[in-house]
Amino acid sequence: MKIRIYYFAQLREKKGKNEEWRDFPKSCTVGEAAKAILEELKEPQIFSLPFRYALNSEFVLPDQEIRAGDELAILSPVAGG
Amino acid sequence: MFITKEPICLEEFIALAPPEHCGGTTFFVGRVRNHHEGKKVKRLFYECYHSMAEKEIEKIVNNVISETAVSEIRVLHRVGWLEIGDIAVTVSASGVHRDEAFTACRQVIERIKQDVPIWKKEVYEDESQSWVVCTYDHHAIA
Repeated sequence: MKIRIYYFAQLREKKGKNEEWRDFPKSCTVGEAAKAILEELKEPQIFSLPFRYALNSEFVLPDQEIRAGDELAILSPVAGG
Repeated sequence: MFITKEPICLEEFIALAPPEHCGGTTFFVGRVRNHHEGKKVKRLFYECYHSMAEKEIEKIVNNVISETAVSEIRVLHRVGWLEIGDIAVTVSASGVHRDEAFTACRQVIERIKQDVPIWKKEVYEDESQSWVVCTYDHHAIA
């Protein structure tokens, strides 16, 4: 199934893109998709960052299942204000 | 609309009158400072997940209004490139009395820093750059 991935901040720069459509197997969770995406960076230290996840612009936990057409954002630690 | 790419005009923000039953209004103004953890900062870049940032700030505003009984909260957060001294964020909270206004204003800015998908990149004097990673003690604002 295809889902849309959004990248911001550090991840946007490392990926060299703002967003992309990706194929994932059915019954994939947010955490599984994020792990696959982050592993592609080949920077093991990136897993030390306390990432959070958003599905369709709402915070979700890593065990949330993804559906076709969902929009997933892997959010590095925020720093507004 | 809580996110803007335009410079924030403090005079305009402060001039907006709260509801007439409000006797106390508090303001928080966050500006770009010229240092961070011993490094001299030249400028900042704020990036956001716009649709989600708007929704999260709205949730924070609604939650803090219901928790503190203030009558009105306003927030404006700037994104894009900012120079030293520029205003990055303004918050106002208005209530019948000052106690709830002070509490609400503090709660809003702390929750923005914790939960709103906005990121900050610092550019230092030597032109090196770094994304800021903040850590928060959630108990500090309880």
